[in-house]
Amino acid sequence: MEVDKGKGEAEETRKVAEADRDTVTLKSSDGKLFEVSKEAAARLSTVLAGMIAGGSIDDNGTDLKQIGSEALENVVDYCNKHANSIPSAALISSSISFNTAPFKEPEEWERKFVDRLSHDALFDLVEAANFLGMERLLDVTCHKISEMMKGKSPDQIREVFNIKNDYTKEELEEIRQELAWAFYDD
Amino acid sequence: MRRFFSCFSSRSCAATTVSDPDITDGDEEDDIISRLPDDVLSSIVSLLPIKEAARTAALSSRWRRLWASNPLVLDDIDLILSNPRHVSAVTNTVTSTFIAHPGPFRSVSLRTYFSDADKDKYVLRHWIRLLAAKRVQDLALSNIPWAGLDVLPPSLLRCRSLQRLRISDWRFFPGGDGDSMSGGAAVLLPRLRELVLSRSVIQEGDLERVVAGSPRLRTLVLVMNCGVPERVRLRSGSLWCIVFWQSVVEELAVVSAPLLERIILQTSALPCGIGRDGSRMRIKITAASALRALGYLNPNHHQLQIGDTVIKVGKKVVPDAVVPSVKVLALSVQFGVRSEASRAVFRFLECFPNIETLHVLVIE
Repeated sequence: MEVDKGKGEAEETRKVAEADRDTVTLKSSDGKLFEVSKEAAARLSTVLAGMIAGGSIDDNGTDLKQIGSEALENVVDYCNKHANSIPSAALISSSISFNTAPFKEPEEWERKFVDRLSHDALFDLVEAANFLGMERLLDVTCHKISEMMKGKSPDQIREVFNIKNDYTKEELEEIRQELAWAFYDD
Repeated sequence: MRRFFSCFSSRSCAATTVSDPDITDGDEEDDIISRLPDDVLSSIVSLLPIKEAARTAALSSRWRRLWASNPLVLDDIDLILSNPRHVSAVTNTVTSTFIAHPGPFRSVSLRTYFSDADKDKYVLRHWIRLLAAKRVQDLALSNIPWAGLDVLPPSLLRCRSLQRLRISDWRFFPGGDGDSMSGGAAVLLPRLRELVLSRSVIQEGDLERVVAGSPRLRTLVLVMNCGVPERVRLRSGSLWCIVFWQSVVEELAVVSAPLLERIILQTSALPCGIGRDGSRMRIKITAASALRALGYLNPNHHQLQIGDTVIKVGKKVVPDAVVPSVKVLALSVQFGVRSEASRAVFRFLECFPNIETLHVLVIE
C-alpha cells in the first residue's frame, strides 16, 4: 500500500520536474527511479551536493547501488517534506545562537515522519542517510532509535533489537559492578 | 575503574559467544541495530541520558567499546529530574562519570549544588581539573541564583580545549589572584569561539584579558549583567558579534575590532536605573571598519561617540564622525518626550550615511 502511494507521489513529482528541470533523478539498487528537487538534495545531502557540483549526476538516473527503493523513497519524501516545511523560529533567529545543545530536537513533522516507519525501514533509512551524508536526517533517525532505547534495561534493549550478548556471566557481573553508579536506580 | 577502561582499546569483538537463554533470545532473527557503523551507534548512545548511555556497555562487547570512545555529553538536569531528592547523589554521579569517561567531553552542562561552601568548592575544583584533562569543548556552569555569587576557580582558564563557555551567576576570580592571570596578552583559551556571561560579575581587566587571550573568539554575550564591569573595551582580532542582552555598562569602547560586524543592544526595561538620573551607556566606536549592524540604539539610554566626537543634538556634523560601513541600524524611540528624542534620532542617523535597513521600535 505504502509503496504504491509513494510511487504515485514520485510520478507526480516527475511531471512537475519535466516542466522545471530543477530536479535530479536517483536510481535505487533495484532499479527504481525517483525525482528530487536539486536544491533540496544539495542542501540536505553532502554527497549529492558533491555529485551535483562535480557534474556526476546522470540524467537517466544516478545509480545509488547501496540504497534500496523503499529507503530511497523515504529519503526523497523527506527532502520534499523538508523543502515545504515552515522554518522554525530557531532557524530564523539563527544569527544569534545561544544554543549549545549539540542536537536540535526533531520538529513535529519529522517526528511523525520517522514514527510511521517499521524497524527495518527505520534502520534502512539510517544507513541511507549515513551513506548520503544527510546530517539532519541522520540526527532525526538516530534520535528515534535512542527514544526506543530509553527507559529500558540492557536485557530489554537486547530483546528489542536482537543484540547478541557475547559476554560471559562473569564479564557481565564485572561490568555491572564497575558501572554500579549507572545501574543503581535512584 | 581504570582497569575497566584499560581493557577497551585492546578488546576485540571476538571469542566468547555465549548463549545464556535468560538473556539472549531469537538467535535466528537478525540483529538489525548492530549492522550500523560505529559512528552512527556512537551518536545514538550520545543521545541517551548519561546513566542509560553508560548502561549500554552491558549490551555487548562492541557497545562497551562504543560508550567509552564516545565524546561525553552530560547535562546534569537529566540526573536531577530523575533524582530530585538526593542532590548529593547527583554530585557523586557527575564525579564518577568524569572519572570513568576517557574524554573528550563534547558538552557538559552543570547547574547544581554549589551552596555547601567548603565541600562544594573542593568538588568544583576537582571537576574543573577533570574537565581540563579530558578536553571539554562546550561548558555551561550555572550557579544557584539566590546562593550569592561564589568565586569561580581560576583553573577554569586551564581548560584550553574550550570552544563555548557559558557562565551564569558566578563571580569571576579577581585578576592578580596569582593563578595564571598575570601576563597581558598570553593565549588562555586558544579554541574559544563563544563566551556568554549571565548575571555574573567580572572586572574590566579580567574580561579584557580573557578576550585578548582568546584569539578565535567570535561571539561575546552579556546577559542581565548590570554595571560590572564598568567598561568593556574591545581589542580583538577575531570578534564578530557582541550582544548586550538586558545588560548595561558605563562604556562600551570598540578600540580595535577589525572583524566586528554586529553590536546588538537589547534593553527593554530600564535595568540598574539607566536613563533615570540622566546617565547613559556610552558607546564609543574608534576602530570597527567591518561594523555592519548596530542597535537598538535609544537616545535616552545610549550616548554615541565616534572617534573623539561625542554625538550631541545641536552640534554640527563632523565629517570624520561617521561609520560608513553600517548597513543595518535599529533605533528605539520614546515619542512621549518627542522634541528632544526625535532630534537625537535624526542626529544618530547622520552618523551612518550608508544605511540600507532601518528598524524603528516605538516605545510607549
